[in-house]
Amino acid sequence: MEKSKNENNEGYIRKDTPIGPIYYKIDKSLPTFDDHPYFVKKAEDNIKWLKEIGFEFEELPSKK
Amino acid sequence: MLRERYQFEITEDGSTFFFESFGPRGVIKKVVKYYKAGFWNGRIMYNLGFGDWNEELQDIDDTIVSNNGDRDKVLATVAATVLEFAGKNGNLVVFARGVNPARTRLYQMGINANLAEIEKFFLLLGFYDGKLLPFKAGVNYDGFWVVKK
Repeated sequence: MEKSKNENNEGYIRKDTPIGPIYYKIDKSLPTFDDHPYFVKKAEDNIKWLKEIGFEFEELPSKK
Repeated sequence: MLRERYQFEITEDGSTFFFESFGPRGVIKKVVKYYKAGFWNGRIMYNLGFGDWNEELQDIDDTIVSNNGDRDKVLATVAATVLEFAGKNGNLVVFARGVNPARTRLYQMGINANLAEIEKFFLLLGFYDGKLLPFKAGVNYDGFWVVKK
């Protein structure tokens, strides 16, 4: 089924910001993806890269 | 300059943003995730993850080229999520790096297009040849380091 654009931002909260209005809504049913393999791996890969170039930062304690 | 952006939905914890791209190729769901990855100079460091949501595979694809004719609007929306996320959190730094050089260039195009807005609120740096340097347009960086002012 083809969805249609919500041109009027119906159902969204308008927030005036220094970069202009943004329209958003908080949806408690949405997944945070904290444990989603893609985002976990993406973070791990980037941390690995930062280490490889010798960039100094403090890692989070391992969850494992 | 006021740029066109998509409306977005945010998870209750404020870490994950969803929006939909509309164009010739239909509706494409996009996800932006700020993943807590460490600490730097007393700031929480978040890794920015961004890609297309594949409903069938229940996975993210950050290599696909959507070609939905709305690249600038999509990138401006991602930039807006950075501002929104930073506004609701304390001192932080966001690290962004594409899955490949082409995707990193795409991020850089988004930064360039929104540079004036970004620099009002953030100190923008880039990784070049293993070093973290002040961001300059025209330099191809390997990653981006966005520090909340």
